[in-house]
Amino acid sequence: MTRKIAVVGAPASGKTLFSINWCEYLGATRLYYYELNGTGRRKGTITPSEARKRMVSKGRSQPARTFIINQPGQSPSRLAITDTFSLLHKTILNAKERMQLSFTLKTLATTDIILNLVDLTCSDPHQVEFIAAVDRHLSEFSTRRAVHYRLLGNKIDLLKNRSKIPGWPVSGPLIPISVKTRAGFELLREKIF
Amino acid sequence: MVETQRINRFTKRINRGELNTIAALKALSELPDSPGGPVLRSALYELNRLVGLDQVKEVVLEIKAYLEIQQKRAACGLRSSPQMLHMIFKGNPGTGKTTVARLLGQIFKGLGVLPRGHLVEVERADLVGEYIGQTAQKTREKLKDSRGGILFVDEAYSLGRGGEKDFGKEAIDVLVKGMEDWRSEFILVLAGYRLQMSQFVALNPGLSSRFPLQIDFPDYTVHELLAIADMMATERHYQWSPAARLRLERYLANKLLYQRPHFSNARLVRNILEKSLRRQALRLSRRENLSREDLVLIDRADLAVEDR
Repeated sequence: MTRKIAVVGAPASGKTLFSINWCEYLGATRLYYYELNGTGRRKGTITPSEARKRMVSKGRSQPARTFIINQPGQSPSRLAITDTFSLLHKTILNAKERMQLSFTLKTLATTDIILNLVDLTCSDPHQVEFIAAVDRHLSEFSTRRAVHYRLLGNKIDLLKNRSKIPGWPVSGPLIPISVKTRAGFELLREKIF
Repeated sequence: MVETQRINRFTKRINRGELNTIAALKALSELPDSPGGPVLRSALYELNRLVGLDQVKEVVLEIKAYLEIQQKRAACGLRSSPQMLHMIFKGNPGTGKTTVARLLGQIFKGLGVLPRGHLVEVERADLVGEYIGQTAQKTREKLKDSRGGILFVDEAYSLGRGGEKDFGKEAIDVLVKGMEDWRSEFILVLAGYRLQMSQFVALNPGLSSRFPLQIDFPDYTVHELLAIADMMATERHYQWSPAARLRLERYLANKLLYQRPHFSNARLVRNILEKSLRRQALRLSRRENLSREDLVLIDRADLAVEDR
């Protein structure tokens, strides 16, 4: 059976790098992927290191991608990890952004697990407020639908004082991770599997 | 309304520019769910989490897909044929039969097949009486309790033992009549050891045709049992030390080799873990200044198994 995981977050929160590194952490040496951008679909197979080189682009608009990995002998035997389009803090969205938001919400509506990545180094109060609102709605949605929801605080490696994680107005416990160094992945694995 | 139609209607609002990110997420969180949606999702998630049982999961998916398609056919005015969902589970103890039956109740509730989806678990003593007339009454009571859910008869083959004069035969007759009378109101699951259940079905020719779904629960492999041990320990915030895990692996491999078919699979693992936790507690109670790691780790000496 396939378990679906949706990775959501604001731009530059580390969604793509997380998806690739998480697949690799779970033992995948090759990633089967299909992606959706504004003009069409593409699919293929790629190694994690190649994916990091080609797919990670800091903060720039990215296609949404689903990585599929097999975990023989484990439960579930297959994971589909969707790196969704960034959630944008804008009052008015253009046509492309609306299509992207529709896709993200469709993904959320059919997923088993939602992982919401937030950038712990973010200090813009408007952005923090946006992130808190996103978290609140996702938390409500996951409770109503019995979907597993986890809030991941990324970039702990960049915090000057790592023991002091910012006290954000979020719905529940935040799992501190570093997508880059993979710190906190073990804890995350325990929490979601 | 079918779930996808509901979501499509909602995303159209986004495409028309009526909702920005926060408004869309808020609307999503308030979106009315289809009946049983969270129940179904949660039960499927739990089923997915079970180690192994690939064949069982496949069958459940087939049933789920079939029921969903029937609902869609009915919505299009096509004839939808009801399917007999009574089942026979064959497998050794601890292979997940009761757990799967409980989850199936929730899945069928989520799919709208059963209104309650609860599980009534019975064995021979709950159905068979000592005097004439008592068996029919006891069995009917259990059938009544299980209406809207699943009646799970554990070690069902024991109803067939004792020959023609045994009251077990009467219990089977009442169950079969209940299946006819309350066809769509409950699901009957007969469970037991593989060999005994096969003999039981062979000796009662009417049963085979009434139970089109016969699901095999194989013994777990050592690898799967270790995954179960890890999962059980993690859920309780414990961890096996590498030496303890290795010893457990050897022990389970030995057990699998020599104790079939009386090997109790996941139940054995749970018993070992629970005994090991008590041993660990005893060991730690003799020490002072315990670290978090000490409290988490189950050591080789704590492992409640005997070396061969």
